[in-house]
Amino acid sequence: MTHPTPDDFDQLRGAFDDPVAPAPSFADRLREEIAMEVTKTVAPADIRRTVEPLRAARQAESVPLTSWHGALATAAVIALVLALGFVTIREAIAPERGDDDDDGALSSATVPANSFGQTSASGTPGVIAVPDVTPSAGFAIDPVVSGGVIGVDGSLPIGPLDVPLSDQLVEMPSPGAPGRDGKSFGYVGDVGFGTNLSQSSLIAYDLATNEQRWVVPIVPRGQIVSDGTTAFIDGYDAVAGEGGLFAFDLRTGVERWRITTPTESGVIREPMSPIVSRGVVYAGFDGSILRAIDAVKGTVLWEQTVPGSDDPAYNDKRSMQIVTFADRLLVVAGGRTLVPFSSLDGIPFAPAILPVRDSASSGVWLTMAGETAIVMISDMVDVPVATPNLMDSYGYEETVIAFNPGSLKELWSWAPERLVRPAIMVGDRMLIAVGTTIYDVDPATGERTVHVEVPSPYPGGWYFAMMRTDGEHAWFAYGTENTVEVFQIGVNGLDHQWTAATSQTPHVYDLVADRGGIRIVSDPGPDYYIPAAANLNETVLPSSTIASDDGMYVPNATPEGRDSSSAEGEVPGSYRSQPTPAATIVDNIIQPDEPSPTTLPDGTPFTPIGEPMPIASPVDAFPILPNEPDASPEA
Amino acid sequence: MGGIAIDMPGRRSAAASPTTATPPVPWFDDALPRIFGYFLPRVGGSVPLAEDLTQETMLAAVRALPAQGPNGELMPWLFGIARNKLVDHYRRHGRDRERAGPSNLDVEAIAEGDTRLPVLDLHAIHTRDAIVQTLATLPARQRLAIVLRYLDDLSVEDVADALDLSLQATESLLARARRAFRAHYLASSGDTA
Repeated sequence: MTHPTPDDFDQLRGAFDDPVAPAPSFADRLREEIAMEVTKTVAPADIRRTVEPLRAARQAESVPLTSWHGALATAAVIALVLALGFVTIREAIAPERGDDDDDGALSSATVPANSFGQTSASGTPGVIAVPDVTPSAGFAIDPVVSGGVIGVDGSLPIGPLDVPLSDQLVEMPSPGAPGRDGKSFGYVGDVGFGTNLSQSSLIAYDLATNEQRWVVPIVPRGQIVSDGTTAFIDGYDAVAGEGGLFAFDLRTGVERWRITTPTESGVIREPMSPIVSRGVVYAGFDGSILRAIDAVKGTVLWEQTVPGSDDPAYNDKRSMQIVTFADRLLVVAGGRTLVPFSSLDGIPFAPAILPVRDSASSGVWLTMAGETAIVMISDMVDVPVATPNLMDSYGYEETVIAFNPGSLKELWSWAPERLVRPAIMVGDRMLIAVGTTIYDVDPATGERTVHVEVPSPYPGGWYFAMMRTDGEHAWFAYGTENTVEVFQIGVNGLDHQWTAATSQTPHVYDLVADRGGIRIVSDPGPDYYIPAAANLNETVLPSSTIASDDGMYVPNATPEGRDSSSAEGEVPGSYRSQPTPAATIVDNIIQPDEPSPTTLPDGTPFTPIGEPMPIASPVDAFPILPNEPDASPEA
Repeated sequence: MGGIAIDMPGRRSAAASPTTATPPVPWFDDALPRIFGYFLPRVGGSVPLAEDLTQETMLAAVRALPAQGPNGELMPWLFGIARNKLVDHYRRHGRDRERAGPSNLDVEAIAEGDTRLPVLDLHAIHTRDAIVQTLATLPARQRLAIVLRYLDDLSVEDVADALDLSLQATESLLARARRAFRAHYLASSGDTA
């Protein structure tokens, strides 16, 4: 059969290309919709315009340092500090967890529901209710761009890490992994997680009984998140020799699925920063691919290459931080590219570029504060500078920028000095610590008031501080030469203060919500643990002392039975032989109904809310307590 | 045949006169009628569908573009988006339309070359309406093939790419589409070849 040339159809060419006016109602509707869309496309320059003058103003007040080596060293350590972010999701009370006895084990009454102040989910028996939101509030993730390794936890010796890391970190005892070396990753519901680094395994244990529930040969590399039935772990399978995202049944440890990713250099991968929301796990793969994964089946629902993830200015330092809001995701890639995605289908929207310098050691921290996206940037300046009030070299520029998470429109920015990250959310309040001042910031407007001044032995603040919250309480901690200082931040100021003497200078790396209390992850030396407030409010005990004779953690244990014969500062691998640095008590309870005092009970000057903190010498402002091995709460 | 309510050039209604509202992007007022005018005949005169696809196209353009527009020519770029949206639409919904497509004619019985379209007065409204109506009666894939090959003046190779067909299959599809179009058009319009 022949096909004659259809000349008769040629006459149609170009005959239907004329404009046709649509209905005005449609045109108006579309005009509005496009206008809204246009507001979401903020050019990168819009962000920089606002931030740069702030920096210029601050630079004008700064004085150059003659030595920048100290700044570099400080920068490296600070970056490492920031690399220790854990996600801890805490339960609403599990239905079956009704420990009503008074045997000292953790009872449901000591675990307040929804302690992260987030919406809780499940009423299904056997399903632990956890927030169905990004873990960007409460115990937040702190991914950083630092020294070639981008991670929420670059300290684990799971492979040929390309930056020097502190060996002491991995030697820390952990009540999260009873009787074993390792570190705690907090808990989900009544399931605690700890690592046994010598065996390259992840241990899940029952928080109430301290019994091991299951163990898998996975070394977690970043945070563990959960939807209440499954634990999603960014980790490395030491047996199979592959890294990726692993899903384990939270109760049984049965592996549900895994998505592994090829690596370019051993087991080094870019952090996945997984989050789980509405039955979907979102995680970054190989630093450049954003995947939405069915939380139950492990099937990839969609994936997108993230713009900016190959930012040449950052070379290997590719990070991906993910938060979720409404039906969208907000992703930071490449250390400075901010990209919104539709969480439903992965459609990307116009990105924005964060004002991050091409720095060898910059930190970017992204979180959601209510309806506002907050980015904190710690940018190492080319020429280290110090402001007159700071005690030492200060080679970082700190910037806080608030965005509309959908449009990326900048809402406000702030260039504070000596920022302590992360900021925390308590309810709808955002607390940001700068130097010795903790500000109460409105995330939407940037309006800030001084919430409290924290006494410090140093005129400019501290080196290694950390502020955390479980949604109900907020803690602030830092180390001095001989003590760990911990403050509980209350509505009206500082509610409690704890001091523990140490023989070394601890750096507070993290505060982890743990069994209703707070655990201070410090280095060097052991962790410190403050149990639930009702039990041992004003005593700080090294976590290693809260151990029974069989080396297992005993909730609510008192220090009487501890072994105090071990050498101070040595941290072997089991509780039985743990060192027992002394606990010294400073009872500084400030009752809410009492007028704000001007001195602490021991005579230490104290500044109430809103009043300037006098700069005092370390001895005057805060006593450095002697190391007293036999000190006890009664003492 | 019953006329289809299509705003054609020169028939712009008063209600559709340009608005005085500030355009959200500089090219909005110029592009909107051209994109809408592109879709309307190509979807068989369905105004709601043309509006949907116009909306998708404009939003996709805004999301992909910096505010000042593309580096090159705007309208060819916009029409490229529009064509992709059209093809995507038929891929999504074509099978349903095919099942529902009206066809009382035994198109297969009409051999290629047996009939031809007359010389059409494409300035006449009723002729344009008849063509659009005829397109609406075709199965979706045939309609899209006609649209891409003739209304959009793509090469057979490009049509094959768009439809994800082999060249041979595309030529076969086009042959069937032409036969069906001729049959439906001639039957409905009363014209003779």
